[in-house]
Amino acid sequence: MYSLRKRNITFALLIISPAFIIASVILYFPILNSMLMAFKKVYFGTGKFKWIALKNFAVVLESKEFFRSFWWTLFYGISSTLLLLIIGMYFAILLNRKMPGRNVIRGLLIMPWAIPVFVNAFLWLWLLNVQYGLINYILISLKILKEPLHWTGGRFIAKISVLMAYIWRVFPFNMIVYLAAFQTIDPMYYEAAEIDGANKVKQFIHVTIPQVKNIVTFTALLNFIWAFQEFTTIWIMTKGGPAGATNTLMTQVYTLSFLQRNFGEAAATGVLWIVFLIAFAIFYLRVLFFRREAFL
Amino acid sequence: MEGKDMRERSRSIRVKNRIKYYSTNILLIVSVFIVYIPIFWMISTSFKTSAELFKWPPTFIPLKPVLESYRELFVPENRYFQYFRNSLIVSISATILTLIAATFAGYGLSRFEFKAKPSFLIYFLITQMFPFSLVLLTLYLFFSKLHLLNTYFGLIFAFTGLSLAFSIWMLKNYFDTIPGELEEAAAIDGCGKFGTLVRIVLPIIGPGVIATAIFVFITSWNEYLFAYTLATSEKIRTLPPGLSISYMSFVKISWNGLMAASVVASLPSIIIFIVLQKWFIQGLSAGAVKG
Repeated sequence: MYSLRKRNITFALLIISPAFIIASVILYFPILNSMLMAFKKVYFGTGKFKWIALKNFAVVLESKEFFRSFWWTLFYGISSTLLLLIIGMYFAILLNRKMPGRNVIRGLLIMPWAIPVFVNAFLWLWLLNVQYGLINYILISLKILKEPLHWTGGRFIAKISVLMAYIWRVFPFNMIVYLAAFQTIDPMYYEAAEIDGANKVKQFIHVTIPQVKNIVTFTALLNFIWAFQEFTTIWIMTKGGPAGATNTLMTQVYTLSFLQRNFGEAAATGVLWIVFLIAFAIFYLRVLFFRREAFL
Repeated sequence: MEGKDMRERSRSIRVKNRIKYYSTNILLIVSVFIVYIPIFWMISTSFKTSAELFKWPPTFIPLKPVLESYRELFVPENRYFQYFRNSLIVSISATILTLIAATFAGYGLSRFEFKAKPSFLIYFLITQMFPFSLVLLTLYLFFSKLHLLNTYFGLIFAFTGLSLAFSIWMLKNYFDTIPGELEEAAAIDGCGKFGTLVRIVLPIIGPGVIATAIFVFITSWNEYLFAYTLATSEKIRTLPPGLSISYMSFVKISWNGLMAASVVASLPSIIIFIVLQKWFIQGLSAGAVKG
């Protein structure tokens, strides 16, 4: 019996190993090596370096760029997560009914997700074009705007623009996941609630929400983490501008390492980011799940 | 008297329900319409002449639709289809490689109980939180030492790393929803563990594998940052950096040309979604929503 168990474990480890090796070589080795650079001064081109302890962190924490990109990334993460939750729920609720052509409409609503991210960025840049963009035209003809808005020109409005473009493409993911979660709920619960005289709103609060809570909180965490990784939309639409207004930690690390060749500060920024994100994820899962089995 | 009242009431409830039903449907149709405005605009722009592009008020449907912008994609100086081919090669290879690694790992993490199992799962999942631009910094230096910059192999390998964790997680959850009885029966019949996995399990996890394949393909097809940095030669360059370099670097962007290029660049993923949607939703639902 013992040897059989041992053989099972060996087999499990054997089939996990290809993925383990790829993750180690492509992700773990690079991230650890990059993180070490946070404690070095690297002389570009020669490959020489010198240990400087925490100096890079001091420089980064004193810089305006770090905090500007940190707060904006946090804002981007939180607001996109909330908006995706609201819009995803909105469509999932509307689709979670008996009606003709339901699958066709669901299929139509998935399409934004099939639009490649880079195409989406080009498309929104064109939609939001100052002179000839469709959105300015619609808003002016609806009398919401008086004159064309320079969507990627202002510090605040550029933030709204990249958020809009991002959310339009990603909401179908939330919609599908929520819809799937709704459909795992036993109709019996709703029948019981109806007999007890609960209306649709009450049914949603007392039956639906408790049943889908886990998947919704986990999806929100995924949305939040993915927002931190978002590069393409922002880089194509604004390159982090104007004046760094849409510069996320992701674009900031890229700019520091590949445009300014300042590896030490790039690494220090990245280390602060990863520490924040992991601490946040642990805290979030602890508070909302209590048990680890809920997500593993 | 009573009966009439009751009938009146139930009639008014029915009318109310009917109004609610239709108004919700109208709300849904209007919402779908709003969601589709960008897609219509992309397609419409791609058929416009350059003159019509800058017409005010803009035309929603081209007055005189032309195929000019599409024809330009085939012009020899335009490397569009070279980028397109590179994107296909890299994305399909990354999908196959990821699927092999993630199916094995997902199966191992779903079916076997051992002490280090949660640690393995965390090991994979935590990579989703890595700052990818920081990963790229060392990967670039590492690839340049190994002469992997500007190679298909390097891009394929990097893309595999990017979508591996989520794929393992999806497939592991999918395996969890399938009862293990079939495998036990196969084991009793003398089928080896590897044989069981390949002959018994793989055929029944079709939807999970298809959903994961779509996820990996789309992630790879979309990949911009790694593709932009790890492949600087025209020969290897994929669509996302290819398009942004060839269209966005001009002072005046030819929007109809860019939109035509965009429509064609969207075709692979749109076709995949249309053809495989049923399996995709089934697989993603089972994989993401643990039943």
